[in-house]
Amino acid sequence: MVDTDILRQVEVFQDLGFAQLKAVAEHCEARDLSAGERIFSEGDEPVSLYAVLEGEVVLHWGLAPGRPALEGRTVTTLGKHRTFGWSSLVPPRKFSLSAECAGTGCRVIRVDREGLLDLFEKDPEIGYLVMFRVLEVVSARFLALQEEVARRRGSDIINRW
Amino acid sequence: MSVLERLEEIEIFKDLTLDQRRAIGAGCEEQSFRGGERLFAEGEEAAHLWVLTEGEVDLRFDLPGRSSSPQNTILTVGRGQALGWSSLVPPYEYKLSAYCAGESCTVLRIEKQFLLELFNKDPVIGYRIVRFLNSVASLHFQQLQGSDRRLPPAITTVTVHLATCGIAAGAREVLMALMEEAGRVNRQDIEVKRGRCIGQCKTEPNVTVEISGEDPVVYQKMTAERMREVFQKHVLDGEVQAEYLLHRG
Repeated sequence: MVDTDILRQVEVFQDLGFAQLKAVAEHCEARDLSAGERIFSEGDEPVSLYAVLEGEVVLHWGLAPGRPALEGRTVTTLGKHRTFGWSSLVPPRKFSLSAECAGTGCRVIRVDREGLLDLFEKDPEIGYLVMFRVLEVVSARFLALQEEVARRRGSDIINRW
Repeated sequence: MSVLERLEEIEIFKDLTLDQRRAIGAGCEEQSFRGGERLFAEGEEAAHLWVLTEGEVDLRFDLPGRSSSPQNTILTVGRGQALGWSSLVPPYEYKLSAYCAGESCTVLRIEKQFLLELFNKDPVIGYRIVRFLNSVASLHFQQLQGSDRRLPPAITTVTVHLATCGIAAGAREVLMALMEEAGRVNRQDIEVKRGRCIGQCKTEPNVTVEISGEDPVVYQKMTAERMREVFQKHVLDGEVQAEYLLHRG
């Protein structure tokens, strides 16, 4: 269980009222991570949505198994109250990026996907308000990926000259 | 066919009631495009959600300062698919360009402001549609990611034939089961596709499995369970499942 005052600052929960936040909080738990700890890997089947409480989380892709994050291609770095692991709520339910704790350590919230999806069905207003914000998260990630792809394609063109 | 009848056939609206579809229908505007015509361009202000009712549309990621090319297509979408999810999220700009593929296409266009007002009045509609748009955005994300991985050509293609008759017979559930199985094995040499009607409506849902160097195999009267079985035994292990076979070659 996570305090509702903390939860309301998380980007995907910012539109919820107190009672709605309380219902969501029942499916949340906080977790401390050490620097470099892998939270999930690209291709894993997700069971949780995540948000950063303290510290930073780095998202990257195309990383060989077991290699440190900095050798992969970083898509974005997320700070306080940012959300990640949106693939847990969207088919085909497979993480499209890997996530690792950056800096000296971090604290994250884990939200149980099954509990959250059940809650959305019971109270579609919560579902609407949260999934609308999730769409913004997916959109932001899409833009970051697009920039990375454009940068790489641009480099490829230059390298062929 | 009326707009309401068209909406009944479209995946994004399938979970809505008749009254809810009526409410959506009031904001739909039908438009047609010729082959090669652009529906919208990457970077343009995104003011509409689009739903394709006939034909196909190429979504392209064009590099800045370079002319558009079919080679930049990251995804071709077919009938019943939704485009323009970026109209609902900042910075409200289309993230990809959309071009009419084939000879022509027809779309329903819905103003985002109309949709947002409707979602606020009825959050159930909002939840169902936004949930679906998240899965569309997720698919586009994965396709963009895949386009950069320079994947080897697919060796096995599994096509679910998703015409109206197929959807009515349960083809959508078959496709979802197939996507789950394919996602689970994460093999880059297996491609999942949506296909057109093959003129065998009585045997829908039909699924075609094409493995390089072998005759295509068409399965009939598929269910999610049968699809999982065919995926495991035929696609992965190479054993044609004669029990569900419609024809070979």
